[in-house]
Amino acid sequence: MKFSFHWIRELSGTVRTVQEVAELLNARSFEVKDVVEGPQDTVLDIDILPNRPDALSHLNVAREVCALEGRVFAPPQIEYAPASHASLSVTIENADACLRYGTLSVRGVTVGPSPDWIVQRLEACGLASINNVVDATNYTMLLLGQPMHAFDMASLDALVVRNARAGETLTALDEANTVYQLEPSMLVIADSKKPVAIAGIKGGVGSAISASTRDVVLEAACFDPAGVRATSRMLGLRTDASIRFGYGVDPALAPAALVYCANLLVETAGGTPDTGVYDAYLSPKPQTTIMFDPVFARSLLGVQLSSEAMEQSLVLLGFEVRRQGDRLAVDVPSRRLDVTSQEDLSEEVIRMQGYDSVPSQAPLVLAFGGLTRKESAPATSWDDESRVMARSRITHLLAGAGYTEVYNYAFMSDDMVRMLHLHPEHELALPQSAEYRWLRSSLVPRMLINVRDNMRYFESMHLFEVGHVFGHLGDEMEDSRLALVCASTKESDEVFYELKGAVELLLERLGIADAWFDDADPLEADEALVQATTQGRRATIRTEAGGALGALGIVSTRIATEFKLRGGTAVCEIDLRALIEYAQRTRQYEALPRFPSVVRDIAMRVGAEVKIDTIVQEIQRAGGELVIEVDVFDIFVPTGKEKLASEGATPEYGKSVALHVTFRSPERTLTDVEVTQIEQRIKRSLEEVVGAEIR
Amino acid sequence: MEELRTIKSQVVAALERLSSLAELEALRVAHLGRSSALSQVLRTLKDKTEEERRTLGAQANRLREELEEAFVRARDTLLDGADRARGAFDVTAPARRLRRGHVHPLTQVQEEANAIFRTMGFAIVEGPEVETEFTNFDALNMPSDHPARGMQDTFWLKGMGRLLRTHTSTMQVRYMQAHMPPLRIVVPGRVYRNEATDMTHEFQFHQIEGLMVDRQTSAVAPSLAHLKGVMEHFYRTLFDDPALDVRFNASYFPFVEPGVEVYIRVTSGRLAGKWLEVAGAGMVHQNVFEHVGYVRGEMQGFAFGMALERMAMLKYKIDDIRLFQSGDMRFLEQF
Repeated sequence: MKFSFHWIRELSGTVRTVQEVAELLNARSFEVKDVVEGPQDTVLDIDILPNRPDALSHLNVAREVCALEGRVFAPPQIEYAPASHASLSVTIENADACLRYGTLSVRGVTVGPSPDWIVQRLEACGLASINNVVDATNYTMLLLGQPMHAFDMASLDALVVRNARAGETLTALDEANTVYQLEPSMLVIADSKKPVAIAGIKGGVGSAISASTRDVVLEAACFDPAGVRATSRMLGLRTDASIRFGYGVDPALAPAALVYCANLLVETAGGTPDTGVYDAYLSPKPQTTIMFDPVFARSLLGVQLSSEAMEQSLVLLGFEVRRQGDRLAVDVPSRRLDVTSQEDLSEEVIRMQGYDSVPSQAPLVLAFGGLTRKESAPATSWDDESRVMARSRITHLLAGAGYTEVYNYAFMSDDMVRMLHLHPEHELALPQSAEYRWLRSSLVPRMLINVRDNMRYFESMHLFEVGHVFGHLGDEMEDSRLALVCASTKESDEVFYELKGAVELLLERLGIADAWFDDADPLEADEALVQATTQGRRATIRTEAGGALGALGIVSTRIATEFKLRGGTAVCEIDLRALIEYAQRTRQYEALPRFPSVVRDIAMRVGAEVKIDTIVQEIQRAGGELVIEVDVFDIFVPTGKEKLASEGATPEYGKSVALHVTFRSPERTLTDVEVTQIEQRIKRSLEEVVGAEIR
Repeated sequence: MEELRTIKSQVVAALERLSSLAELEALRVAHLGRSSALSQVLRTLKDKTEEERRTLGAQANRLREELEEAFVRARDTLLDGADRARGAFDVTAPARRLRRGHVHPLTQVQEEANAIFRTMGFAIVEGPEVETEFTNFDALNMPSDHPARGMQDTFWLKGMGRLLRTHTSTMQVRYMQAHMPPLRIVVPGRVYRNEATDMTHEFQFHQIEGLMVDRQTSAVAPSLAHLKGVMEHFYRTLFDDPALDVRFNASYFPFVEPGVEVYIRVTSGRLAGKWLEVAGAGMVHQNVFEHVGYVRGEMQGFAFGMALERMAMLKYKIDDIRLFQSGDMRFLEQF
């Protein structure tokens, strides 16, 4: 909100520069966002937050400046006498929404332009000058914080404060003469027939001040803040009046504002005011008194301040303070709607003293998470701690293995949902755009986008992300996942084995020894991963205990085309919670072998459809317990010319496999004869069971 | 005597002509082996007089040591010659690049922050990102018509009345509902605001919430001064700047009273001497204590909330907040 510095200076009597005042307010009261020096005046743009409705006025900002400088503020005294009846009949039908309603009429005015000093002040505060009557109401609002309205008395037969009726409209007093549809929840000011203003927000065209207006009815009221906010929101209409009423206007203000405004009107437009103010204040707000304990304030603030210093700070801000034993009875002025507790008063005190007077202290109490309420058990934060630590280990493991961490938006686009045939559970009511409409059910889609975006600069990409996904996941709506991608701009299936290597390393380092890759179609796997890959080119990561930890696969040609990926991309998504659960923090040492091992190489040709896993399992079965390791060191699948060349000899064999088989006994040194016997048994078995041609 | 001298001169001459390790070994066997002349001399010592044994024995043994040394030197020379024969070697040629991954800068700052708070006795706590209206607003003293609760700032989920949390302060509520003071926690996490994005604004970002509560009757109930102490130690450690200053400015957040904004002033670098806003904080509002089921007036404590992105941007001098979620490896590989 814009404030005229000249005006604040005139009201407060400060001798400081505008920068000094801005600094003072910044540190202790409000954020001064901008200071703009102009030829006539300097404008302060001050961010008044909803807790300080009083400060939406020059008078109270000046009061604040005075108090901060340690001076007593002398507000202008405005005298008024009550009138027994209004010159125009006033009826309040909804007293809950209208706490106070006052009018004062001025007869015989001459509508015309305002004097320059008024025009300049209004302009400094961002308001355009309209005519001397409207300007007087706006000037009064800027000074005192009381929104006002001026009606042309000739256009009205009564003033009724009531709720709008279904179907009623109001043509607003604005440049476009907007027509607003009114709802029964909205409070209006009406004459005997129709609404003439939306209460606390906007006046109507029909009763507006015009060049021919002679008699003016000034209105100053106090409306319920919640009602004004709701109506303002429903109509999408924010005005200087609605902002002030929405924050809350001092209910004591109306009569004085009417008198001030009428006097200004007489000065700038002539005319004669009625003798008294009509004022309907049906249930006056009681005086708020707070018992304030300086000991409490010292403990809360951590400062050693005397009761006298606290009292003085409060008095400077306009609080009335009486001593009652060790405590202070503090009467809160009606304008300070925000002050209702000892904490509020403590804040007032420390603002006046300055936050720099708060010392810096290390907290002493030794607390770590506290106790759970039910069993007085240690805090559940301990579970969180171990999860945070495990996640950190995983992150650093993957970075060590060459994978770079990304953070992505937690939203999926319409395109992603369409291309991957996804069924996300959660849609935003008001998304930023179609790009971010759905709460993500998987980390995979955005990681494919990461690959696409980085392809321009990199030939190979190794990325991972840790984050929440959303859906109906058991009792909870969200779960933690880990996703990895390995991509190359060269067309190759190698990316899959590279990614599998990273997953194996991760599992191994987390002490998950019994995990295996299941090529049966993954039923439990993430929907996006299944959609992004094809059957036979993906695997589920399972543990012997039975559970699935996640899945990995090669992105299908269809999805690669949809996402504009070149080359080969492999993706993996892992249930982070399950991974952390399975992870073993402890490692057990295995005794070093006491007897030497013997290694034999076996090379063979097998059909293209024979799986490596089948061969390895057959070797282990046939070889028995003396086979301690089977290590595949070469797989050769002939393509193109090589295939043609080999076709004459053995057309049915699709690939060559070579492996090291390691034999060892824990009890003795194996003899050559013994090992050769087992080796022969393995070879026979491979020929018979797997259909291998041993070379 | 004469014999020993002959052996020595023969060996010296032979070593000069030497060209391979095999020749060296043959020479060694010939002159130090069991059937060598020197071994012969040593073996016949026992037949000599005591006088001869003393002088000849000492000389023979000395010769054996000399020869052993000479053979070692000859072996070293031969091996070094082999390395030289490999040709020119360039140590200035580029090293073989190891592929390494990179931990996201936000994760790095987060972990550093966690570590600093742990040293101050704070427990790390996490919570859900999809929240209820009660936890995100009502319990934090922002009832449904509160002006601080703008519709346009919150991502609401369609049809379920749930929302994406707009701040990690939600965990103040959840944690206190389940625990009794004294307690001291920090809550790192992702938050969402439906705002337009630019260099300094994102609709998805991260906060660290802090909360410390004890009984009001405790002699060391957490105060505004303790909040300042915690902020000071945290930022001094994070920015490795022991002379960094911390200042409070008056502010307003519905769930604290008094409410302050925390400013820091670093002493070196481009931002030296400037006051930078880094956190919102204050003393927990009694309405919040009441909402989580504590007795009004019994507890006292402070809370603070800081944006992780802001910390990382200051620490690494990053000027565009959108880079964090760009997934751009050219950015990520710098960390």
